[in-house]
Amino acid sequence: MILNNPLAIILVLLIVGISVAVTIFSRRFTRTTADFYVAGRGISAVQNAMALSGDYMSAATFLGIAGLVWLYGYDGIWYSVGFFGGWILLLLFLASPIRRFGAYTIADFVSGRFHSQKLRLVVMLGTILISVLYIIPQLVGGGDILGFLLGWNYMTGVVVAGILMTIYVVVGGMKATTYNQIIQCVILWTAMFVTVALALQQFGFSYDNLLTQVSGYTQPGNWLDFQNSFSLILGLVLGTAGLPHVLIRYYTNPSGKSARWTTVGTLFIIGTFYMMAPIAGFGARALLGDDGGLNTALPLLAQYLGGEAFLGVVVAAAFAAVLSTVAGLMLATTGAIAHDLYTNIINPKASEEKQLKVAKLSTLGVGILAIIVGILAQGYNVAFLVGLAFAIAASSFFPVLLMGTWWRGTTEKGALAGLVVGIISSTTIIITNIIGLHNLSNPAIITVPATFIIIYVVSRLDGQIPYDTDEFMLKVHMPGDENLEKLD
Amino acid sequence: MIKMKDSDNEDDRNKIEKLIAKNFKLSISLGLIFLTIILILPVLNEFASDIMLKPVFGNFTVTLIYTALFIFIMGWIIPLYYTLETDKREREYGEEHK
Repeated sequence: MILNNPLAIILVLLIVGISVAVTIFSRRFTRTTADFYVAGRGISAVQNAMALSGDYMSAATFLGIAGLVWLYGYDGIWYSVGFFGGWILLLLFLASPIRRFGAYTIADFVSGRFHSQKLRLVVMLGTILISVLYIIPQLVGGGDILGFLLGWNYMTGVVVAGILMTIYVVVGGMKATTYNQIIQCVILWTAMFVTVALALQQFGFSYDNLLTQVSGYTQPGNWLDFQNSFSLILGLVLGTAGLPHVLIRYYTNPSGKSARWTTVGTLFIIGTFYMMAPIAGFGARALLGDDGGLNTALPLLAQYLGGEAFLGVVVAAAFAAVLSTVAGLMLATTGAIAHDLYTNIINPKASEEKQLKVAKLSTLGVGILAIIVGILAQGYNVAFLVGLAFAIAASSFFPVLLMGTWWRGTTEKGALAGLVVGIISSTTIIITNIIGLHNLSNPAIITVPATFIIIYVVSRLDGQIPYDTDEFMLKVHMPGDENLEKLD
Repeated sequence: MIKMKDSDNEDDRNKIEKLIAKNFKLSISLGLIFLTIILILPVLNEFASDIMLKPVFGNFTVTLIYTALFIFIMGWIIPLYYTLETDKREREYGEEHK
């Protein structure tokens, strides 16, 4: 199906044009590695809250939750709740300490705590793994959207979407990515709001009247049993708090206080978004009946409510969601390769200019790799890869960051054992589920407690607490950002 | 065990431990409250389905209100309380150490 809609094409081209203009504008601010990775740590809380929301509201979120609620009803809302809940743990345990530490990547933080190149390497590999698993389904979605919109074949769609994202990260770094994500946040939130308002209008603006039409879909159990719903929620909540592309944005805040207010702002933006998404899903069920689709329920609902023009708006918003999320993921992957691997392991004496050059070349490499993998993924069901990314983040990064930040007894060997066990166990359980050996689709219920126990037991047995742990703890927990300067 | 760099200053060490413990107490209390709110939902749906499926307002059942409204409201109240409380503590700490 090709969308023969000039307005939709104009809107997508407008998004592309704005992205390019923002990138050109931001170019002048990207002269150092600090500019490239963390936008000179000068992004305000409001800007960052909007950028984080744009970053986090992926195509899977924008299209997926409404689709799941259309298909399974209540059980689809678990995703809204899980995606939202993780931010609270992030705020309570990690936001301020990560910002106060003040580096570029998650490997910097872990390495700063344990002084271990081995750990830096494992965290770097984990960051690349999680980000690539997340990028693939986004690019596949981007290719499909451009094909649907412009009649291009899938390969052209992936190449164009990939090139656009690569250019704006390479040229504009974190600054351009941030401004683009702010614009994309506004587009996504507004598109969801208008869809829900038009859907509710069909039922006299009464949510209750809407629910009357979907009575078989408002109770739990249409899709997930108790064990899987519990594990899914746990995995989504803890996974969100361990996603590298979310965590690195905290370095862009000017202070720990700003990092906290950033999270509060993000929670208000994404919270309202996640409250609206299930309404759109129920609306699609009530108005479209069985004529929806897992990824097309929202666009088809838009078409039903506002004709071809509004369908175009929603498809353009989905494209914006792909752009914003992949740009954030590319920055996280670039940081892992250029900063963690090159600057800290291969060539620690690299000049500022050389570091920036390697960072840009790495982004280019990641972009090309993502495009190739995106093309190869055509025709495969890659939706499970996002779940895998969350499961790995929940089972490895979150426990290590939490215990490393709050328990001074955590040792290098404990953290290393936790990371390795978390990554291997979550990947194994998901793969064995896919090939039908068991029915636990989200491994968090097993792997998260296992990782915490491993970190604790190995650290206790090891006992080799880094010599400057107190200094690290003071730096990341000391109230008042002005005290940080005294320490430095 | 590797020797602590600053273990010779017992007072400093105690201050740091107290500071972390104070911060952790606030974070862990609020974190456990929120995790309980969110993780008890599938448990209640499974083992107290009679109550959870009871209509409260029109077609809104207890579980639907809890999932689609209550969790989100708590997800705003808890972070707001934490952020205001932490800002207050930082102000007090700043004044004490002027």
